[in-house]
Amino acid sequence: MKKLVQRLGWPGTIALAVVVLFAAAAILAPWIAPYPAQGAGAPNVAAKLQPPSAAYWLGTDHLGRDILSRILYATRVSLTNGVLIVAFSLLIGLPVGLAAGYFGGWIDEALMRGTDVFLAFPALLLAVLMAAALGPGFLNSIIAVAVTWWPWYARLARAEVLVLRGQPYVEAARLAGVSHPRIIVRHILPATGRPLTVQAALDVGPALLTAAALSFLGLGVLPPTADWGQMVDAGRKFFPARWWYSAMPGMTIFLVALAFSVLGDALRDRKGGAARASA
Amino acid sequence: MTPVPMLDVDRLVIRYRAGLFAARPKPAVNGASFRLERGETLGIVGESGSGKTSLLRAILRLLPVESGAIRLDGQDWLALKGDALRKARQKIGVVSQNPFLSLSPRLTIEEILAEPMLAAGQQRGPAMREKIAALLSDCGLPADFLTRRARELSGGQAQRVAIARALALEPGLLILDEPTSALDVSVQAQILNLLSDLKASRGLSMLFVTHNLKVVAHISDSLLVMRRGDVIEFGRTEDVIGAPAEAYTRELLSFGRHDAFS
Amino acid sequence: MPLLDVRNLSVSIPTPDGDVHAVRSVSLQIERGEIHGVIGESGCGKTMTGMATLGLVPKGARIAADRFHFDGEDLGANAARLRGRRIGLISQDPAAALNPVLSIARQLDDVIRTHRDMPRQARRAEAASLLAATGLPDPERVLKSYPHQLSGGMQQRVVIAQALATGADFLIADEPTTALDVSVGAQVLALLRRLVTERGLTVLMITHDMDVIAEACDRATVLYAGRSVETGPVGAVLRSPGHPYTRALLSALPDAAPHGARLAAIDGSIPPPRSAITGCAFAPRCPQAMAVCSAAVPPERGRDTHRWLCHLPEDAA
Repeated sequence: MKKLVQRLGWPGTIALAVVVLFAAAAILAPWIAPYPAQGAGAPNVAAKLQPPSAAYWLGTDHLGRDILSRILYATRVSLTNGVLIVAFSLLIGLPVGLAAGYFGGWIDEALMRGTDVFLAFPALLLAVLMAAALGPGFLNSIIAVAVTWWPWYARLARAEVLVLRGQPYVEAARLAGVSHPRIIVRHILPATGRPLTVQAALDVGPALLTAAALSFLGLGVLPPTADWGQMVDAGRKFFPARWWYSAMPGMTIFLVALAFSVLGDALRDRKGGAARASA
Repeated sequence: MTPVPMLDVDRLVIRYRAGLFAARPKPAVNGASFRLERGETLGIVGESGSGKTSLLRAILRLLPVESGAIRLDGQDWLALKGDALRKARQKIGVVSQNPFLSLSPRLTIEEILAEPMLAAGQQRGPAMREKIAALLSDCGLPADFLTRRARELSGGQAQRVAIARALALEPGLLILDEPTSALDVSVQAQILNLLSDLKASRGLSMLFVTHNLKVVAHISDSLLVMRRGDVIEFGRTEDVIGAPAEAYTRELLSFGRHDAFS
Repeated sequence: MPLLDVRNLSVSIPTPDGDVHAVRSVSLQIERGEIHGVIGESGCGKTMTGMATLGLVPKGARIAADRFHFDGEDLGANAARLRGRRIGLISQDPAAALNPVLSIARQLDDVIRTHRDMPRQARRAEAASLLAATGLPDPERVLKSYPHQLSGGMQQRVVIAQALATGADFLIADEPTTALDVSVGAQVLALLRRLVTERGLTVLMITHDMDVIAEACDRATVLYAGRSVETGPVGAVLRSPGHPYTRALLSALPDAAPHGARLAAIDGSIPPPRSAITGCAFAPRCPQAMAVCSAAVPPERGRDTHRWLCHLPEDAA
């Protein structure tokens, strides 16, 4: 525990704890939610729009469902959203950036101009367009956002690879007759992996937010599946009189996004510290 | 019949491209011709801007050549491309100035030494381990260094690892780019002695590039002096040092302890 | 009275893994008008000695000395005040010493303004005259330039001009020619010699290069593992070194051996900076070491101004 604090610092450790907590909540939602059926979507109209109370800790929504349970169930959707968006973006962006940075020349030009096309659109607008074209749904919203996200990773990967390619030890490997694939696997990828993972961790928050924004616009998951963004949207009609409907999921989004951001910062700083300590 | 020279460079011209509308720049290397005989050491000396670095990088096929020829062990070196080039690189071992930059910071010494062997298609196993152990001991390094990383070593030790790696595929030619310039005098002496021992035991030919005329005068059989892209001296070391053709060479030689010493 | 009088200087830097003894015991005296070379290999403490004189040691470092005086004043207390007024620094990388986004005129002007009270025209003239004094052929053009437009040698001359602008009469030159070509470095050293004669400067030259000592210095002090082991006129130190380390160092140089012969390398390596040393620091590597060498600190040997610390009697060379 102490070592964890030493490596991540207090903010980082707390952030990690929050993330782990939410991940646990996502997995254990059916067991820890006070009203699992309502979390999954079953209405409870008799108790509709109740403020936070002993029975319903965070209040109820317009169908009387316990908001806490709904949030817990939504954690599964939203967290997975954020992580999968980042993962898909990395999956596309990393190879593109790697190829562009390592091989240079016309490959670089072609790939980077292609990337530029995607970057020319405002990200959220493009996501909305993609989502509208693909239709609502869990996987579709992930694809829609990933499509707008991957160019950043491509750029980042390319920048890292350009630096690495110029390193004397990579040149030394080439001079020793090591083939390109080998150099990429042994030298380039591991070194690129680290900054990219840090960036990915930092990005889960914003990815989550974008997915929530899509759901808010009605382009993400459909009811009765719970989703934070969708809940915030649903609660809009009742704002500010029944503030808890939008505010609770809203604060959850805020908390999770903040936790990932702080964790990402801590990971980045730790990377620097570890490198310094071993110098 | 005289043996084929290890390296034969003929009227090599290297010119860097300027921008789209700029005038054609003066060549970085302006028609260099020289040869390195088998089993000998050729020292290449020059200050910054002399072209020695460009020359070296061109020989290493890291820079394009405008015109001229390079024959390596009788073979047309510039004609090789792609996989043939990659395989032919096994004939040359390269040692750079800063071992902490030229050795991967992440890999262990064992992995660093194994890398060229694996790239050449050799298999992991007891045979490779034996070869690596022999390399370490030939370069004066203890066996327990295998598990260490470059940053844990001193400058001299790291440079020994770099030399061991350069010898991993038993090359005939060793190219050294300022290998001792970043080292202390006493460590430099150790490394120069090591190089001389390795040259004798393995029959190596060596190309030694440096700005330090004193070092190169000591270890080279023949000497090449460059200035602003031109080769201004080339010949046996004792001839160049004893009777330098150019005032510039005389100036380089005169700096230092000649007055203070006997 | 020597301008710089250092006796038994030590600098220790506390770290989580123990104290680093960057300087264990250094003594040297530099007279006015002298160019004094401090020579040693990496880890010998030469740079830290220079930094201590400037008061620029790392935070938390402990400095102690029997005497550490500059022109009679105690450096421990006054280093910050003397630095920039009486003591200037010329370091290894001139490009790093100059601000890349300011013109030379602006940088020199900043220095002159800090130390002198002159109207703008006069300052500009002073800057030009300082640049001319360092041998730059076209001071006006240099003034208008930015550092990256100048060669290494020119940059170093600008740095020297800056040091002169402060009115300093004592310059610490830390490897001033290492980053420069041999011929350019020779010019810079010749410039320093000339400035010493013309302006009555005194120079502490820190270097690892024997040729620099031979070319430019009047006296030299040899450092090993944080201790000054030999000091004396350059001719004496280089031609008849008293300390075994100095002898070994000189023999290890490439031009000390015949062409193609093995060089006389020194076995072993320097003691780790955190370790405590009893007796002579060089004993483990000394070919003439005796039992007493590892037990007791060696006494001073030598004659007149050429002295060294060794247990061996003086004629044992």
